[in-house]
Amino acid sequence: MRCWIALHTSITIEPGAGCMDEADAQRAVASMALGFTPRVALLDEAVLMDVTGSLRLFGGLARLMDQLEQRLFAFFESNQCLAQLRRAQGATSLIALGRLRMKAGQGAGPPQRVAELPMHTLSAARPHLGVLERTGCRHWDDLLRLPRDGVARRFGAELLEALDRARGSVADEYEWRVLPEHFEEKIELDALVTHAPALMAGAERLLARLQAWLLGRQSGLSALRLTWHLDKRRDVPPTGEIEVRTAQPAQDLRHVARLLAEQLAQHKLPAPVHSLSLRSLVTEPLADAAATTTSLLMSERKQGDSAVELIERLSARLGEAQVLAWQPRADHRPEQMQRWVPAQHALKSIAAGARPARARGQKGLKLGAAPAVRSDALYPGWLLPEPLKLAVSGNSPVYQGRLQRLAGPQRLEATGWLAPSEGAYQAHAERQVPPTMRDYYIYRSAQGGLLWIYSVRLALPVAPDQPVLAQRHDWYLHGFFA
Amino acid sequence: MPTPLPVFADVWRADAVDQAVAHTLDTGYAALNAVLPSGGWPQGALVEVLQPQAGQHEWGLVAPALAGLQAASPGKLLVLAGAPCQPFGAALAARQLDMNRLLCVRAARGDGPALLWATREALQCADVAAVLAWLPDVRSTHLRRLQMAAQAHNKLLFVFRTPRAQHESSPAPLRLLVEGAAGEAGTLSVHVLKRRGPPLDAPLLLDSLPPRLAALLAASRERVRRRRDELAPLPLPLHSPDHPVHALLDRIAHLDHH
Repeated sequence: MRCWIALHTSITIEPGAGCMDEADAQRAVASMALGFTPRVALLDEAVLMDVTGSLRLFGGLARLMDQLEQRLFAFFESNQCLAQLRRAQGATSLIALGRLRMKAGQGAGPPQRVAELPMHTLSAARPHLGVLERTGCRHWDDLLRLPRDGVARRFGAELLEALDRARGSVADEYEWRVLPEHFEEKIELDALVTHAPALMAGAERLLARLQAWLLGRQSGLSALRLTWHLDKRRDVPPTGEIEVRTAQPAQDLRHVARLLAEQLAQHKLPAPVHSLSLRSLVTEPLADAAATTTSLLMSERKQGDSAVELIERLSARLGEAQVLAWQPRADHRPEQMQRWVPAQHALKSIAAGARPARARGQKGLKLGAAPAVRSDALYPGWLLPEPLKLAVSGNSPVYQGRLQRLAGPQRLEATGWLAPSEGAYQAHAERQVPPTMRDYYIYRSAQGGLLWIYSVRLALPVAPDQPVLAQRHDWYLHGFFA
Repeated sequence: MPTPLPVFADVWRADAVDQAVAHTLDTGYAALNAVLPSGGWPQGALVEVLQPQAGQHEWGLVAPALAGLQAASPGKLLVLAGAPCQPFGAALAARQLDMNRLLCVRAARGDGPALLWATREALQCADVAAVLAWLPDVRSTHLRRLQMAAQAHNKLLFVFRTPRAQHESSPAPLRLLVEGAAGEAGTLSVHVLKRRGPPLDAPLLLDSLPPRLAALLAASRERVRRRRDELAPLPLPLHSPDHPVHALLDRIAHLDHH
């Protein structure tokens, strides 16, 4: 015996918050139902799904329905909709649909016997309801008792076919819904939009559909493109677009929505926008999607965002160059010992560090590749990005008052000091910049802080008869011992 | 005779240091632990640190605690918002900080709101262990919001400000004023401006330098002292009224040398 489920969602529309209508909701439910069975069809107002083949996988009808309901409610909740879900189950699609319509009429009652389902629950009988009523056919059974030839002549073949289908003597086939390989949808906005942040309302409607599509395909999104179509009467390019990428594929699109909002906030529209389209660029299958999205345990649910989400959000608002992560380099020059790179490009290593349990498998391989962290307590905790040239009084530097020399010198050989990279060093060599040396000292300032100060001198005497020590020194502040 | 007040766990008597702070973190300095409520940095509360110039004393004060926190919570990030300079990895690694789990957030000069926003976002992130924020011109209402965020998410939060803020009201349960000190006993003097306890009269002196650096400074101080002694031998106390005999003996000894 086959097992069919008929689902119907009704959305209670709140003023102002209606980001979905009934048709949208029906399509979304169908998309999500596709996560449970490939045999899903839309019929009139309901979603029909044949779950016969999936019952064992999900552990029975009751569990399957629980999971489906949880997922649907989570979806509607995340899209701020109040949805009412009705479902009915039957051996054929039309029985399930008939029971669903019975429930809609009289609320929840005992499951009806198939023979006693009233005529109006059969879509094919709806044009003939008056005649059927007057001939005394109130239930499906009454019609089945009449001679088939007469019924076919009087009411047409569709009604008989529907009855056969309901009884299971004709194959229960529909045009099954298939989710496209890439999500691409376009909506017309209700009104022309001139402010980029106001596009978010339309984008949210598209994101809700995208989320249903992702749930149906059991995959997560890593990149999408939002395109807006500008008013053609203006002399501007017809479309504009932004791309949003995330490091971890996500099914819950709230993070993506926030990234999108941050990016839109920085955009200026050259002309009013009349429609929006959204396209998924990269998606990845999530094997344990069902397990991660339906857990109700508090320990499974994450409190707050993950590190990756934080970095992406900060980078989206402040700019990539303002959110930095540290990278060591093998060099003896203090400026070159480390590099601060945009954290968004170093996400992989940060995520691996932030989730050690997940990355343990590959850790052994990677450890050898990373340059060893050079640690030395004799370096200052803060480094000035550009050495600060200090005023000189007598033969000693001055920084916010007189300084007291505590230790030094520590000499660093410095060919190519000022060269940021090898190529640039070549350029310096061609320009005949003589190699210099730095003598580092530790000074104490009048406020009590310890300063890292160096003096520069040329390694070779400028004139052969002039001793090295007699040169005039430049003093630079390079760091604070905090 | 007055009846003694009943003792409740969540009632703090103003003449004693509060010992009921839920989560505290070892500061790494015994002297500092002794004066802080419940013996450590309060976790889930705002700690306000005032210092004359940003970038002078931060690491010495907070690095031991942060290193302990990083060791205790593997995989969590440390976020610096609006740091005055670049943190230098080599020195911080020597203080046992894991540089790979450090995130530096900067903002355009004068863009205080962006930094505040970033600080609050970082506090709300599950993978962040502690936040250090340099907010020189933050207002009290904003600090209150940060304090509430730190409390809600139970994060360690330090906010560094200038001593000008000393006379403004602040929602922080712990306020410190930090200055450099030149004495031999320590290099960091910490005034506890506000705590859940009686006010503290004298500042604390902490020896906040890493041991190697402290040893280097001591050695070079010693060397300078010795060289001064060598270069300038004792002036001959010719007119020493109270010890004529000693002066005479010294003179004879010097004569012997030559």
